[in-house]
Amino acid sequence: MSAPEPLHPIDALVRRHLLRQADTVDPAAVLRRLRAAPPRRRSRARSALAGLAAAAALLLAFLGGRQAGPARASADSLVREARAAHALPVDRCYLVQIAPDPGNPLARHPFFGRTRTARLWTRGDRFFVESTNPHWPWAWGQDERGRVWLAHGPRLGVLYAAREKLPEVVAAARDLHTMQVPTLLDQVLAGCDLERVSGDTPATARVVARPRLGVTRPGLSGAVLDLDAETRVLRRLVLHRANAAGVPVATTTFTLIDCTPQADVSYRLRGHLDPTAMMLTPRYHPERRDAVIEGFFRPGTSRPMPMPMPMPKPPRKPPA
Amino acid sequence: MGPPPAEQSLADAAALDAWVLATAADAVAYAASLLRDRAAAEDVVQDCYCRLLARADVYDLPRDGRKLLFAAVTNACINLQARARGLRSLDVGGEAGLHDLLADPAAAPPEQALLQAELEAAVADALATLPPLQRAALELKSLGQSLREIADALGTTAGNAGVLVHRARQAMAQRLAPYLKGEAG
Repeated sequence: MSAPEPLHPIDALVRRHLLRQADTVDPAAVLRRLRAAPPRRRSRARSALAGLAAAAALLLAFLGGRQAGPARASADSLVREARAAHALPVDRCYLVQIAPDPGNPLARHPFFGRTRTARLWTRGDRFFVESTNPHWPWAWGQDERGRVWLAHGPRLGVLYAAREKLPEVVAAARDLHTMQVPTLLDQVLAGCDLERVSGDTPATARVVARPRLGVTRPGLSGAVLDLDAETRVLRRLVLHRANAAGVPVATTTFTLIDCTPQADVSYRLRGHLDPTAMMLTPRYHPERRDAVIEGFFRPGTSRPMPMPMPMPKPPRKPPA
Repeated sequence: MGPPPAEQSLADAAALDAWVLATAADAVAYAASLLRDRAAAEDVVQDCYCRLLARADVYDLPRDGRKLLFAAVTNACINLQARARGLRSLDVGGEAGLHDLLADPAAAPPEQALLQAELEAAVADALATLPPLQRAALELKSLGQSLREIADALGTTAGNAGVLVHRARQAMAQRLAPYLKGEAG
């Protein structure tokens, strides 16, 4: 601990709370419990060789998969720890590159048919994807309530309710562009054989996932996960996407590029719109949302599309 | 010449015991606050002690052990919370109820004790609403750790640790506003 400094009033309250809790703990009982299950203590007098061997064993037990079990168990353990790390509310930005499989009919689609790059911010199962084109600002994502949204520039937004059926093109784009890490890792754990292989660097642990025989895993035909050796955070992820028939669709590569904390509102539609922007929602002109979505994903979307037909200004409502 | 190995070993063991006695209460209280489950907190702290004591000849635990212990407890609690979400015990009292019964009732006037208990409960409730990282950062800060030490414990940068502490304070101030009356901004 560092030298004490004047406590912020909130810190003082928290400290008092913790100390009050600490008053209820009997340290001697903790010590007795420790003695009842004595830890491995090593004497300083042991030989350097014995120390090195034991340290190596400890290091293996700590970092190398926790148990000296088969490779499969180590990979499972790594992915479970990655699942836990990514369930925390930490913001991470990935550069997303999508390369369509040339043999797939989707490759002929104007939107999906060429390699695309975007920035993806994730926090648990929230995410938003934003444009890398400064002349055409857009963003779309999923907020903390599971609502999918699209900001078509700063003046027009589209919002779908959490349980609402999404247009096919939006659902496909969500599958291809996004990385809902906890959900994805659950899929990997449930339906894939995992194998730990040597990573790119000593700081990276690499796990290869292949769908288990007899398990149908639509949308995923394989994955390569590069995990930070210490934090278990995904540094790089390559997803091989396939359709329900198992036909390859695209390869999506996510590369971790930033961890700067983001405001909560960044994951919501409101955070990407002007205060006076129009929002098409399940309650306000829901029938016009599909036209905007289709326009967004239409051919030639590398340039800005014109605004849709003029619509009446929405009634002013107090912010929710 | 230092003491004979046997004496040195005894002295080391005594120093480690003293370290456990000096840190156990704070560590269990901290873990219990993060987990809201006293029994699980004791298990986590026990496990962290075991792991650190197993490496007692690598670390100077009487000197650096408190920081290492709180970092280990932080990580263990956050991992446990992430794994066991939805399975958390609602029994947050543990043995505290017994200690409360044994506490000296004359320590404070009843009215003040009542207000104190209300504030105490409000602080606990407000802490429970914070995201795990914010809660850990604020509690470590309140226990006197520097932003650098908090960052090390949470596996982030000192800047991010500062942001976590700041956001946690803001959220707490908002929730405790009725009790603070201008004490905290």
